[in-house]
Amino acid sequence: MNTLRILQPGTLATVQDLGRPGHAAMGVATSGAADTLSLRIGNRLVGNEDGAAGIEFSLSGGVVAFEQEAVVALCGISGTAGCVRPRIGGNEMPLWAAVRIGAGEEITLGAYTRGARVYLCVRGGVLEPVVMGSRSAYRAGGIGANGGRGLRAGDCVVVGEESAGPAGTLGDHALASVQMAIGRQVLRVNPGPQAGAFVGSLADGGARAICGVMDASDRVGVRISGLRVRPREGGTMISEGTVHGAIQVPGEDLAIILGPDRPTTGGYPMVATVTAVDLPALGQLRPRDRVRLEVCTLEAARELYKERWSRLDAQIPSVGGSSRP
Amino acid sequence: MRGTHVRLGRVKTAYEMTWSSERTLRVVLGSGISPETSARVGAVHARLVEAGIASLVDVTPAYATVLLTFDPETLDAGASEAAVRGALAGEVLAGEYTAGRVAELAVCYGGEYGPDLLEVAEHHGVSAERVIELHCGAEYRAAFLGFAPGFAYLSGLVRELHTPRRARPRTRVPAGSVGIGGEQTGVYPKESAGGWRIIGRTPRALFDAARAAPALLGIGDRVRFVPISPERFAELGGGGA
Repeated sequence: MNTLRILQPGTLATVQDLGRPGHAAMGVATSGAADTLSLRIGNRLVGNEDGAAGIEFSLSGGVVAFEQEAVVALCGISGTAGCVRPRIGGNEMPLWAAVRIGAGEEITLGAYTRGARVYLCVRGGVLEPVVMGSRSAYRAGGIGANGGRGLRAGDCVVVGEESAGPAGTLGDHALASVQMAIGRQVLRVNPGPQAGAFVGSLADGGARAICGVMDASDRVGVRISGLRVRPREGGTMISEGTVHGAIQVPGEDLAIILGPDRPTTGGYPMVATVTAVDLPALGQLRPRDRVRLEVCTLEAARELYKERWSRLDAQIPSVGGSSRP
Repeated sequence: MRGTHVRLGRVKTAYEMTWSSERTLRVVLGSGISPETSARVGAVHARLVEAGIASLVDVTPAYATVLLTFDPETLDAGASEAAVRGALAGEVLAGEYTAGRVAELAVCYGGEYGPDLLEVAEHHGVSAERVIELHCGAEYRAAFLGFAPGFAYLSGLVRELHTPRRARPRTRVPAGSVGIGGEQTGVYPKESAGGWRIIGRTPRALFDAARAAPALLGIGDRVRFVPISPERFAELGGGGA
């Protein structure tokens, strides 16, 4: 049985795959990687299917030891000032490339100030038990290591011994476009469902505002201040369904962009929803980052998503099978 | 729990439908909270789940809306819209809406399990026994589940028990706690922070991901609370405070 050991989890380390959609009627959020683009490409680099589970490290730190030889890839924001600079022993480890690591060696992520999440993908995938169709940790559901609260120092994680296909590589051009996609600080949004319930609108001013990401941001939601819209009247409504990326506005200077572990329903009006193409960039926002919203049409959002993935599929094809576990 | 049919007669499925984002289709079945609207939401939810609509990855029912989430990778908006309209065509018959089971939840009221019971009684100028009697006397309906895993929005709290939330929410409310918040009552499935007045606790697990049916309650279920002693609470496997 191949295993890797968490020596230090850093701020938060959880096992994530592409999540468990289909259980919202039970109040169960989708969960899954906050930046699915990094996870999926990381999996392709090590020869896994897109939906294999990896380890999501958040905000700072993380040290992992390998008890057997393994092929791994680390993906996240790279190539800019303040980004993560992982090391294997004394040597720098490149991001976005399959790397062979020897038995007994350690990967150290260290501190970083640019980008919120780094994904460790391992050839064979992380084999955390599948619960309700997914290996993703989910704290509100008590699913995953330590009741979903994240991996702790000393925790061992089982890794698969077989991979689905050959390792892939990412050319310079593809890497540049991936970096642009996850590093965006302008998020394209579709207005609604309650766009009419606000004083001020995204179209006339709100979308020009530069917002700040607040400290109390996590997998449940990214909190921002500075969005120039506020709810009319009492500011609440009868609860209705939410989606990853929906932007709730509870009050005067607070908006919450819901994350993968969102409450499945909520009573705060939602001014807009981040388009699927920009959810990975949302997952890379960290406290004190600046972010701006840009209104986009439904058709453009659908087109952008499909263009992104047909380009990526040509550059680094997915490894057989479905993208879900 | 036992199966039972909800008597609704014929339910009209008039609805409005809009794309609330490029990947979410929002079906609106009413504008407020009512048993009729909840019944329609339940019936529409069941139909949409059964229809096997392409690219549909999740369905989120609520008080008056059903949110459909599609996979942006394979979504064909025109075809999805047509499939939804097809699934919702015509009237929903009473027999379609059979989700309403009856669930009895044993609750140990007051004491360490219901630290706010006396406060609620005082607020209404009645005895603690009367609060328990009123809370157990009503039948509640799970309008839908949401917010957190296994949490059911229960409607049917009698007016005499409507009680404002605590001014200072607790940082830690144990799993199984039964609370009153304004016009609502419900059970915290998992330990969390919370501002509802806690009047008791059930030993039943409202959500357990390891069970075949992880959520104890489902949309449309009817719920009754049954008072039990602290001894019975312990026998039923309830945890300490």
